[in-house]
Amino acid sequence: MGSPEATSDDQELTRRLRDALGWADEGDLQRRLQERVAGDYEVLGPLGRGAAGVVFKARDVRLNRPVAIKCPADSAQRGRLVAIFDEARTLAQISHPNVAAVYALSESPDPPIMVMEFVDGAPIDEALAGQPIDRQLAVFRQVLAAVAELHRRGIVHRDLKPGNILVDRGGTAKVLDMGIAEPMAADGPAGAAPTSVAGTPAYLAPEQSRGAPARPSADVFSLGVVLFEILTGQRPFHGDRAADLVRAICETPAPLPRSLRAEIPGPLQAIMLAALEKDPARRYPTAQHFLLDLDRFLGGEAVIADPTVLQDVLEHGITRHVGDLDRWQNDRLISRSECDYFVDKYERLRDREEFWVLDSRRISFSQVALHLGAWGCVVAAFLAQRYQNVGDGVRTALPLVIFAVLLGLGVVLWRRQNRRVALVLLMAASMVWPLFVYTLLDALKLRLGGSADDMLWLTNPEWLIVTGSWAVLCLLFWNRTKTSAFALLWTLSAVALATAVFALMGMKNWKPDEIAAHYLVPGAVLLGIAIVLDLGWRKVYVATPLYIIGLAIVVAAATKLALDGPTTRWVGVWAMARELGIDEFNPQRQIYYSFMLNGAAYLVFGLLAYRSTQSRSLRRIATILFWLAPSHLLIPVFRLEHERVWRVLPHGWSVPEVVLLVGALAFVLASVPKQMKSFFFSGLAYVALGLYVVTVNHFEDVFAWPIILAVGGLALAVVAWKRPAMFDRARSAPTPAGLRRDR
Amino acid sequence: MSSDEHPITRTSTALLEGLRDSGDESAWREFEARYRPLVFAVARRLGLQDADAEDAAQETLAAFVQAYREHRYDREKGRLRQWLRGIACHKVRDLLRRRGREVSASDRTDAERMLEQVPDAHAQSAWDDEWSKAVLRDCLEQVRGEVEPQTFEAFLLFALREWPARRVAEHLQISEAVVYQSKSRVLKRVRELIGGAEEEIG
Repeated sequence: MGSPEATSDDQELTRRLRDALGWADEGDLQRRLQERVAGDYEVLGPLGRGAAGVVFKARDVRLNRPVAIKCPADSAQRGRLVAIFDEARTLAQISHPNVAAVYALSESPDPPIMVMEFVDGAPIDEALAGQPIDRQLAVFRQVLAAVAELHRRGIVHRDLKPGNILVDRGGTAKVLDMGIAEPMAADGPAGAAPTSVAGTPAYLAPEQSRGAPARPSADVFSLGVVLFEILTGQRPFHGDRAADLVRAICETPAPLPRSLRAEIPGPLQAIMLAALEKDPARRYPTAQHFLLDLDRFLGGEAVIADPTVLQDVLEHGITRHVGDLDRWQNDRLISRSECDYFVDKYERLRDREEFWVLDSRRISFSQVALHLGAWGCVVAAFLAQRYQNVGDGVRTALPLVIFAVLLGLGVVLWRRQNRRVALVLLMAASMVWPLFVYTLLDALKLRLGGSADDMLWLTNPEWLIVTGSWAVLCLLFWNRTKTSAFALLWTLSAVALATAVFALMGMKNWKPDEIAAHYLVPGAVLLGIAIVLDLGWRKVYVATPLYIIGLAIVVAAATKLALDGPTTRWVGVWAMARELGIDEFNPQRQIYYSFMLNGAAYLVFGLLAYRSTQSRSLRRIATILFWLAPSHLLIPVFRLEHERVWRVLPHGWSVPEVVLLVGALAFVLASVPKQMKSFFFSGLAYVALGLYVVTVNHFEDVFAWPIILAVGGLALAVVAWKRPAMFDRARSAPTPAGLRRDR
Repeated sequence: MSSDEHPITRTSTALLEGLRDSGDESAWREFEARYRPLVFAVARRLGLQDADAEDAAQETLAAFVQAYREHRYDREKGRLRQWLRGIACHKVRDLLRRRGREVSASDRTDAERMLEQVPDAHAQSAWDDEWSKAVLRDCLEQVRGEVEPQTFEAFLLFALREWPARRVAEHLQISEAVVYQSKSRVLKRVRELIGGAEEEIG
């Protein structure tokens, strides 16, 4: 045993074994190849076999660098290799760091050869085994970027598997062997060979194993299998024989990755499952889409993936729970109303809005730009009514035109399934509508049913028309789109309608209740008790009402204190301002400063409460404070501007008007990182107020201004829609914030 | 280690017993796993396209089982592999003929020529060749399961890939002596298994 001299029996047996494995011809092929490329390359030895030939490692004699040469072993492989030459030529134009480069192609003399970059690395599943998730994702992301580039050039890889994705010592991934047509033909169709000896269909998309032409979505599936294997250490589909495996791929749902590796965050699991959808139409259409969603995850944003597997799991769970609830009610464990309550919640889960709504809810800079643009149109429509000098026809026409443009564009985009953008435009259109009605009524000067109780510029019945028609429009839009955004607008319009009704009932003459300021302390004590109950003793259900009652009392009392003026005196700011000569005594301004102090306090307390990872109720309270803070900070600025203080800037601009506009924009932009809808919507409102102030102060006689605003707004919206990348930061290196958030 | 897990090297008696019972799904699946790749490979070599070769394999196995259940197969009269070969060659011819009928008149000569290209001797040698290859692959697979992965890898690289012993040793970080040992161990075991398989098969 162990003799270096091989017997002739051994030689015969190894020859037969090589033959049985289909390797018999490699030595001969290597000799033929060496003769063919003599002078250019020195052929070193076989590296492996593919569908289109044997791959040899060789050395480029002139450049003295290692290369890989693919050379067909028989006529079938020869045909396959030549068939992919066109794709290889396209590939040669791609210079991507994660795609193995094509150096040369040569069809004659026979056999044809393809010379490629030699990659010295390990298959990606081996290279990344046992690594932390963020590291695994960072390397996999390179692969996605490479395949996305192939898809952009119209190349479908068709045979993505760990053996074709090598990772070198430096952690750079390279995709090899693209455009190998019909990978199955290499090893016979599924079922023809046991999986261990021949290749495996484990990475083929269901439609590929049914023989459908490979589209980019097939590569997405293969990448999904690879990602699944990297992250969980096992493949999603199993079968002892190729035929069983193919059946599993076509029919068995993928297991939930989190059941195999619990540290995989939920959104990442959704991405993995979305790539493994059986129906290519439900999968990411290209690697580019896959990459974008993975980047959303890595950037800590909400992902688009909404895999059917998860829906099925949810559906199954809901059905079971609702059954339990019925039983519990019949067993008198819960009351009918409790049962109804839970079933109602489950029904809502079932009727979840489609995934594009999720996308439109996600606040990104491009989304902000889109909203700002559309909002510019709304503000322009609002400002138009101020221009009495241009004639009623023109100032009524502008809002109508803006309404028509927004509505038309919104409806067209909605029909074309670009619902995210359509929704923004339709929301803007629905806001322009009451402005148009208002301007129209104002221009007509009908003075319908005017009386001493009229609250604002129109008569109360006219307000009823404005708010009523608005509410009907919002209700129609909500019914059509079924989105929570329109539900919110519908609520707002309903509140406005209710106010108009109250005005009609004579609200103008109601006296504000004069409740004493000493409610503040009990309110604060109540809040304190709530926090102790919630965080200290975990009595959430007792704490929640205390939070709400305490907060209501504190806010009401703080407001009262601010109105009565003692707040600033107490904290000494007022005296300080007088000492420094910033401002002179003025009770009215004292109120403004007091409100700003309140607003700052709400903001600080809100931010502190929001950081609480333990209490959901406290975070909810923080959200309420975030709704209050912008108005408390910005309305006083608006009032100060009204008082014409601090007009120290050139061309008669005042500090408050600039602060108002900049502050409002700051709130809008500050909404992005933490997805603060409160900042976003109130910020938008104060942007409108700021633009209004600027218009009154500086562009009162320039009718071109609202037109510029409208056109500019529309342009901004269009750019944000067409080129979102201009606003959302490009991510060259992944930042695994999504991981951090979920751990 | 018993040879039960490896299809072709295992005795076929028990399997044939199972096949008698039409309700024994597992016997059919085992039978299919054992012989379908073989018939497929032969059919491909005899000139059928992948899809047709699949059909040929499927029809061959089905026809055999039907004949067997009708007691038309007598183990005394001929070995299983010869029986299967007969059915397979018949099915391949049948499919080639059918293809001939499907193609248009102008292509008929091509199809007919394909038919003529399947003489008995050619079919027989293709069958025997594929059969022994399948046996070898199975034996190799079994050895892969029996020895250390490193031993098998050393054998693959040194004996089959014909890398120099020193390179294999460096690659796997073992001594050259272990490389030689690996080769002879694997070959010895393969030889043992082949002996057993040839006695047992059909």
